[in-house]
Amino acid sequence: ARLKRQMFIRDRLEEDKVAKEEKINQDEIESIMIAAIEGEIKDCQYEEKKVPQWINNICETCVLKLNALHKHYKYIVTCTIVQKTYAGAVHTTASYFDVAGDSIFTAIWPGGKGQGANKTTQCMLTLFMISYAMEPKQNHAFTLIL
Amino acid sequence: RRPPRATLDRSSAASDVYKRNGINAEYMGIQIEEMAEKKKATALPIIAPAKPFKISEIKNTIKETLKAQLQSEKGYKQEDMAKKSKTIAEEIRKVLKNLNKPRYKIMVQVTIGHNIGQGIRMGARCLWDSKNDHYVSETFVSEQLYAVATVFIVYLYQ
Repeated sequence: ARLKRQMFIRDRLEEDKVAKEEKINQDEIESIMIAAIEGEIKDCQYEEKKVPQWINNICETCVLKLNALHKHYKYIVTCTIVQKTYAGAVHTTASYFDVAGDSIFTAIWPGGKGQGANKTTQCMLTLFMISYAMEPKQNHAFTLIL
Repeated sequence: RRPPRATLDRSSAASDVYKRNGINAEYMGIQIEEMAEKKKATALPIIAPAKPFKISEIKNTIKETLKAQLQSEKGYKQEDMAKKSKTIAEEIRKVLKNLNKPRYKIMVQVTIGHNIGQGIRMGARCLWDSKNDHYVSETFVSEQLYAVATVFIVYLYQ
């Protein structure tokens, strides 16, 4: 079993070397993330009992859709749902990876003035895409303010 | 008296054997190098890390750094908290880097918010190798603030 696993990973690494020149389409990924959020929360008010379910569904749809793109990355999706009040929140990520190969995407909903008539909930999604074969080299930091 | 035994010079003997059989010793050396290179190229990747990351060691350090940084904060101010969260994230990343585990990628997320009784929930989903990749998350709550730190650690092959 271990041999099989090693061979599987070796094949993925070779494919990754070939596919290194493919660029990530930022718009596509951000649209996937926003679609996942809107599918769940669009017209709903904040209900404490439903929140865990919403988070589960958002994260799962994200990961499934990203997996269907068949890119050579590992994905980590984090989702926070906050009740909308006058309070603010700050979210920072500091990471040690390869800036050329790996990327961070974020989506806040509702973003902007016109989007979404929802007045009670706010949702923040972060996505880490980590490539298999690139060694970590650089530090990287990123902040978001709700 | 018998004549002294001839001493065998092993290096010359080996090359003599090859020469006698019509094979050039240098050619053999090149062939062996090529085989070694081929083996490297198609070698199976190293799946299990040489220095594995242990979560139990990290949990306490993360919690203590959070406490140390945030215990003295009294009010929640947007700008101050933005700077604070950045310093906390970078400190945690420093600590983890100092553990010196090669081939690991580290992702630290820190969220700080105003604690006024509103509802908040965080969740995460990961598509990775559950044997080698781990996560740790710690929280800190005070009268004015709450803080959540999650760390994702991902291993690279080869």
